[in-house]
Amino acid sequence: MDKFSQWVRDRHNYARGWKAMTGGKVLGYFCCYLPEEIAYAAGVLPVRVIPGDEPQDLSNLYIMSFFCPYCRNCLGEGLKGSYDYADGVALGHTCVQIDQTFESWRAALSPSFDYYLPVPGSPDESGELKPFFAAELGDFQRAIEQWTWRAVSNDDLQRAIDVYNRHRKLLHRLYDLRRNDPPPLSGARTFEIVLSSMLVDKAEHNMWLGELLDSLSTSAKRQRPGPRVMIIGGENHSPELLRLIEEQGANIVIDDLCMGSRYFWNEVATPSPLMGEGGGVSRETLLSSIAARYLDKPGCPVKDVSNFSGRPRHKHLMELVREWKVQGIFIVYQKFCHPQELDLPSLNKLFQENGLPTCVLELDTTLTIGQIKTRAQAFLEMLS
Amino acid sequence: MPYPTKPLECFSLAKELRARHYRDIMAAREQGKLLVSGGVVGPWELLEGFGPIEFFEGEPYGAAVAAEPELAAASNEATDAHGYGRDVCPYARSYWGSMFLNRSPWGAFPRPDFAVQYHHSHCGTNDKWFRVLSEHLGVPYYVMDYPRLRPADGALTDAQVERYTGYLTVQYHQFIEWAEKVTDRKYDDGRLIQALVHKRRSQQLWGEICRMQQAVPAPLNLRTLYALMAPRVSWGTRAEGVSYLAQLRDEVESRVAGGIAGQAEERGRFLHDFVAPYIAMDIMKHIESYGAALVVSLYVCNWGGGIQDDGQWGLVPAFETLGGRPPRDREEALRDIAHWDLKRDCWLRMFSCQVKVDTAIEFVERWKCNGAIYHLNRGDVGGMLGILNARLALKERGIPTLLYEASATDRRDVDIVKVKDQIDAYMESLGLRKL
Repeated sequence: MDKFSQWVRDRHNYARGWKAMTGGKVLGYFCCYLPEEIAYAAGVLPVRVIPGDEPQDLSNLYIMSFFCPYCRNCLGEGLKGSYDYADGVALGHTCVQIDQTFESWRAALSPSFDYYLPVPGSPDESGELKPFFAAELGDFQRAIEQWTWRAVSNDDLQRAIDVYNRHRKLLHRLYDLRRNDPPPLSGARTFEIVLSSMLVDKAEHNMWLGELLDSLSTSAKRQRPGPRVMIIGGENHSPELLRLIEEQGANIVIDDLCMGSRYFWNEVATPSPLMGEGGGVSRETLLSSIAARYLDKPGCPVKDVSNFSGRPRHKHLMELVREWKVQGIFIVYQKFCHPQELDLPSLNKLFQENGLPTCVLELDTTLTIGQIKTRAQAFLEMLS
Repeated sequence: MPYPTKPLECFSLAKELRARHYRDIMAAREQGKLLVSGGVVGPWELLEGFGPIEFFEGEPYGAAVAAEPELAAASNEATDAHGYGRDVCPYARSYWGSMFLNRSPWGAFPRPDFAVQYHHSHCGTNDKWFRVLSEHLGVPYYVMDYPRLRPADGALTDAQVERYTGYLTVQYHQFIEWAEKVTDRKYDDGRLIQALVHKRRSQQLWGEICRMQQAVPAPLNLRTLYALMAPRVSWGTRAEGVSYLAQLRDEVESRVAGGIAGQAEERGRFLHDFVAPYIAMDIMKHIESYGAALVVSLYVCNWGGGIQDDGQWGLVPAFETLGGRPPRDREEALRDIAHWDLKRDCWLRMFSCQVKVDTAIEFVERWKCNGAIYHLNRGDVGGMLGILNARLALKERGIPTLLYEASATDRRDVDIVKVKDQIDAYMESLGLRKL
C-alpha cells in the first residue's frame, strides 16, 4: 500500500496523530465549497467528512430514508464517533440534503465550533456576487480566529493560498499525464490521490505528490490500452467504484466529480502586491481572490446556474471530452441526489447529440459490485 | 357533546377566485397580459410592475394537476418517460408532465412569456424546475440568488442584514432591467408599490386567520384552510385578494365569537405538516374520522405573519425599514422587500432545522395540540428538512407524533392501506376511537 492509499484507509488515525503532534484543531467539512485556505491559514487541519462503507442506521433518527445515502452516512460516521477528533464542523452551502447532515451533526454532537457559510448559487455574472461572498469570507475568517485564538495575518493567508495553489498545480500535472494514451496511471489511483488530499495536511501531500510526479515522468509504465472514458457526477468517496469500471477494460482518463477535478480545478488568482496599501496585498484583496476562485470553479449541478449562458457545466464537460479524447461517459450519482438526477436528462441529451455513449450508475451505501461490473462490461463492449 | 358547525360563506368566493385565477392564466395572451411562471416562494410583487400580468405559480399548479387523477397519473408517467427520477419534487414532476403532454386541467399547457425563480431559497430543485421549462418551451428565464442563511442561531447581525439587503436589492434591479428588455415593457413603480402594500396586508390578514385557529373549537379545519389558502397565494398582491381575506378574517372572527367549529367533533387537536397529500386527501378525512381536528400547519401559516426576532411565528408590522409607512419609490420598495425576505418571510426562513423545531414546539403549545402528524412527502427534501429534528424535540416534551410517508401529487407513492393502519394505531394509542 502506498502513502496515498494509506492516508485514505487510516484517515482517522492520521488526523488524531496530526493533532497530537501539532496541538492544532481539526475542522471537519462537507462538500467542496468551503474555502479551506482560510482555516488552514489559522493552523487548522481541514478534513473532509466522508461516509463509511458499511450500512448504518444511526442517522435514521435525523435523516429520512429518501435523503441521499451519502448524507445519511456522513452523519452516521459522526454519530458512530469516527470523527471524535474533529473539534468543529463547517459547511459551505451546496444542497439541502447536506444541510440536513450538518444541522443534525450540530444538534446531536454539539461540536465546540460550527460554521455555515452561505455560498452564492451562481457564477458571478453581475459582478455583485464576489464582494458579497468576500465579505462572507471575512466573517468566516473572524469566526476561525475567535475559535483558534489566533489572528490570521495577511502573510498567513497568502501562505495558505500558495500551499493550496501548489496543490492544484500538482494535481493538474497529474491529470495532464492522463492525456497520454494509454495513460501512465489509472483513474482509480488518481481518484485516491485527490481524495487523500482532502484528509491530510496539504503541505505534506504536496511533498509526496511532487515525488510521485517526478517518478511518473521518468517511468515508461503505462496502463493497458482500452476505451478512454470520463466519469462524472456527484459525491462518491470510493476509489473501488473506479477500479471496478477499469477492471472491465476501460481507462478513466478524466472526471467531473465532487471529489475529483471539481475539488481542485481552478486556482486562487495570485494578487499583485501593488494592489494593497503600503506594498502588501490587502486582506480584502486576498479574500476577494479566494471568493472568485470558489465562485468561478466548475459548478456542481446546484451551482450550475446562469442567466446568460444556459448550463455552463455542459460547456466545461465538452471541453474535458475534447481535451482528454473521451470516447464514452459514466454518469454516477447517489440515489435520491436531486441535483444530479435533475441534470441527467439534459446530460444524456448533450452527450447523445455529440455522439458520446453514456452509462448511468446509481450509487447506494454499498457498491453493488455484480451489477456495476455487468453494466460496465456491456457498456465497454459497445464502445470497443 | 358536538360543537355547532355551519358552512363557511366565504368558501364560494375562494372557489371563484381560484377558478378565475386559472381562467385568467389561460386567457392571458388574448387579454394582452404578460404570463410569467416560477416557483411560488419569492418576491413576486416585483412582477406587478410590468403591467397587466398573470403569475403562473409552479407549486399550486402541481396541486391543481394532482386534483385531476387521470391527468395526474398521465403527467407523472410523462415525466418518467422524459428521464426524471421518481423521487424528485412531486410538484415539479406534475408541472413538467403537464407541460410535456401539453395538457392542463383547462386545455393546453399555458406557455409563459418568461420564467423567473428565486434560486437557493429552499430546494435544490428550484433552478432546474424552470430551466427545464425554459429549454422545453424556449422561453427566457431569469434566476435570482437568495443567500441561503442558517437562521438557527437567531437574529442576523446588522452588518449581515445590510449586506444581504444590498445583495438582493441589486439583483431585483437587475431582474427588472432584464425583464424590461425581454418584454419590451416599461416598469411601473407605482404598480410595484401598490402590489407590495397589498401583499403585506394579505400576509397580516392570513396570519390573523391562522392565529384564530387557536380557539377551541377551531373555527376551520385544515382541509378547508388548504382550499382557502389558494386565493391568498394567487391573489395576495391584488386588491381583490385583500378584500377576500378581510371578509374571511371577519367571518372566522364571528365563528370564534359564536363557538362555531370547523368540525363537530374535536376530541383531539393536532398539528399537521408539511405539504398536504393533495393526491390522497382521504388520508386527512381518515384522521378526522376519529374526531381529531387538524388545526394548524406551518405550511399554511407560512403564508401569513412572519418570523419575529425571537424566532417565533407571529404578526410582524409591515414596512419596518420605513417606520411603518409604505415605500415612496422603487429603491425603498426593493430594499423593504429584501429586508422582509431576509428577516421575516416564513417560507424563506423556515428551511432550517431549527426553525422547524422552534415553530413545531410553538404551534403545539399555542394551538393547544395533543399531538403532531407529519406527512413525509416523497421528494420534497426542502419541506422535509428538519422534520425529524422537530419530531425528536416534540418527543422530548412528551408530544406524540406520527409520521406517514405519501406524496403530494403521485398516487403511486401512496400506500393508503398502510397509512390508514398507521393512523389507526396512532389514534388508538391516544385513546381515540372512530366516530
